[in-house]
Amino acid sequence: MTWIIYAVLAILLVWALIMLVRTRAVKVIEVPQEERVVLYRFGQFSRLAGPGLVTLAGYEREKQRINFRSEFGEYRTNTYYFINGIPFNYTISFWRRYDLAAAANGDKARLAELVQYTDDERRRHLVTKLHEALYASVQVIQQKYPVPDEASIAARLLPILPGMPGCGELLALVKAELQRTLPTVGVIMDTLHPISITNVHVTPEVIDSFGRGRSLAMLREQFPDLPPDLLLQAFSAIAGLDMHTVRLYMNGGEVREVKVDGEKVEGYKVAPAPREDSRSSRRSSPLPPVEPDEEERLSKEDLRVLKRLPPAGVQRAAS
Amino acid sequence: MSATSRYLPTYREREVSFCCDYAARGESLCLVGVAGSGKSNIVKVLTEDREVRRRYLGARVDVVRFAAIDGNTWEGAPQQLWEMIFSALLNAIKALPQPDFDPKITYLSDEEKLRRRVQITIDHICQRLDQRLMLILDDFDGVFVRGPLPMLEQLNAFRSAGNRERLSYLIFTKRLPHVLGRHFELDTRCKFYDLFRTNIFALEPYMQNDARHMVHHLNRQLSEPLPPGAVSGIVWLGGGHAGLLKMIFGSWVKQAPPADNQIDYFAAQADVQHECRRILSGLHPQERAVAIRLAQGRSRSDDDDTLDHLRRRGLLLDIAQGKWFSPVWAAFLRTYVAE
Repeated sequence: MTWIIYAVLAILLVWALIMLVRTRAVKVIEVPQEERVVLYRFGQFSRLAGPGLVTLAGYEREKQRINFRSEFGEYRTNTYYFINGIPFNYTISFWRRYDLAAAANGDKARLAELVQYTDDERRRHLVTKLHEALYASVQVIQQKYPVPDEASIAARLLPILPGMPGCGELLALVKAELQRTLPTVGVIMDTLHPISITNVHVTPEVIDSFGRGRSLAMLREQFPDLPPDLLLQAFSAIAGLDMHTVRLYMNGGEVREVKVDGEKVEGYKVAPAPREDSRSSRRSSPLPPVEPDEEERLSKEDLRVLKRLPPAGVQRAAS
Repeated sequence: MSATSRYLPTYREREVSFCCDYAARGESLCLVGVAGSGKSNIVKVLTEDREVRRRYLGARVDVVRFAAIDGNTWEGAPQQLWEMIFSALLNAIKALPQPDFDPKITYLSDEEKLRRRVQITIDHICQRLDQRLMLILDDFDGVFVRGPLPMLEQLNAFRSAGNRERLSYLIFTKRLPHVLGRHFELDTRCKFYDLFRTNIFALEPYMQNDARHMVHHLNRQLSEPLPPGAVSGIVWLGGGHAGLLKMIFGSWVKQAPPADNQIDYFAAQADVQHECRRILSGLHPQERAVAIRLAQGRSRSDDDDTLDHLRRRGLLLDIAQGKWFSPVWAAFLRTYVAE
C-alpha cells in the first residue's frame, strides 16, 4: 500500500515540474564561459548570472548577454588635440573586458545601472572616457615639453610621437586615467597587455607641410642627439605620411618638382641630395648635348620597339 | 566627376582604358612619354579615381587594384625599392584585410625582410584576396639605368611565385627601357623585360578634348578668366603637352601676347623655354639631334628611322612638312643652339 502512495507522490512531483516548465515559471539556460546573462524579473534587474547552467526562477527573463571576454580593441575619438599648436589624434589600442560585476564592486544599484547598456553603447562610453583621458594628459605633456616659437611643425609634433619620452609619459597618464574611469562605464582595462599607439593622425595641412620638406629637413639639425632611426620610427606612425619621402627629406633630399593646380599645391617629387660632383656638372651644363655618343646610338631595331596605341579616332590637339 | 573637375571622365581615354584592360588580363606594359606629358596624372587617375576605373573595368572594378611608386624618389638601393613597393601595396589595400607577417621569423638583412614582405603582400592580394594587381612603376628611367639586374629580375620573381596572370606591371619611362638598361643587356638577359617587351607604347600628347578641358580648368580658377579665343589659342600653341599648356597659360595670364606673332613671343618666354628644355633633355641624344636637324632644315638621309620613331611618339605630326605637335616647341627647336 505504501508503495502506491510513493508512486502517486512521484507522479505528482514530475507533473508539478512539467507544469512549472510549461508555465515558464522555471527555465534552464546555458551560458558560455565567455558570456554573462542579465536577468530581469517583472521589469526590474534581478541578477547577473553565468557561466554554466543557469536556472531562471520566479519568472526571471533574460534581458541581454554581455561579452565577458578580454578583447583587443582599437579606439579613436572624433576630435583633434593640440600639442604646441599642432592638431593631432591617435588610434589607441589596448585590451579590455566588460566586467560589470567587478566594475560595480558589490554595489547592486550601480550594477543595475550598468546592465542597462548594450555592448555597443559601452564601446561608445569607452571612447568618451578615452577622450577625457587624452584631453587632460595632452595638456600635462604640453606644459612639460614646451618648444620655442620658431620651432618647425615636425619639432612641435615630436613630443607626442611614439618612441619619444613625451609620448611614453602621455601613454602612462592615459592608462592611469582609463584604469580609474573605465569601471564607471562597466569596462575593466586588461593590464596584462600594454596600451599602445597604433596610428597618429594629423590634418591634411600638416601632412602637406611635411610634403614641403623643410620642416622634416630641419629635424636632424634641431635634434642632433636623437638617432635618425628613432626619428624615422616616430614619424612612421603618422597615417598618410609617405615614409620613403620622409627619409629622403631627413637625409637632406630636395624637392625636385612641385605640381600646382591653380592655387593648390597638388604634389611633390623629392629627389635624394645630389652629390657634389653631380651638382657642379648640372650647373655647368644646363642644356643637353646634341650629338649622341656611339654607345647611345639607336639602331633601326631599337627604334622599332616603340608602338603606337591603337587609334581612337579622336582628333589630336594640334592636328 | 563633373565638368568642373580637374579631369574629364574620358581623360586619356585610350591610355587609361588600355591600362585597365591590361591590368584585368594580368599583362604588363610600358608607356614611353616625354617629360611633362602627364604620366603622373594617369597614375593618379588609375590609383585614386574609382569612377574612371569603373568606366573601363565595369563589374571588375573592385577586383583590380593599382599600386604606384615614383622612381624619382628611389635612392639606388634594392632595399629602398622594396620599401617603396611595400608601402604602395599596403596603401592599395587599405580597406581590405591586411597581410600577416610571422613575427617569429628573423631575417638576415633588412633588405631580405622587406623583399619578403613585398612577396607576402603580393601573394596576399593576388591569392588570398583573389585580386588582380597592377604595380605602376612611374618615372622608372633611373631604375633601368642603375639596376642592378638581380633587383629587376626580382620583379619578375614576384609574379612567378604563383601570381602569373594576376600581377602585372605598368612602367612609365621617358626613354626606351632596353636602351636605358643597355649596359646590363636588359633586352637579352632580363626576364622582367620579357614581361612587357612586346607591349612598349608611346604616350602621346593629349587629345584635343583633354587639352581643352585642362586649359578651361586652369581658366576657371582665375578671378578674371581669359576670353574663349585665348583658351583656343593656348590649346593650339601647347599642342596637347600638359607642361607646355600650363606654362603658356601662366605666361598669357601674366601678360597677353602681341596679336601678330604669338609663337615667337611664347617661345622666347623663360618658363616656356625651360619646359621645352625639359622635354628635350628627356629624349635620347639621337632623338634630340634628329629633331633639331629637322626643325633647322638640316635633316640627313639617315634620320628617317628616328623621324618615324618621333612620329610614333606623337611629337612629330607630319614628317614631310616638318610639323610638330606644338608650334611653340617647333620654334624652340628652330632657334635652339647647343652650348
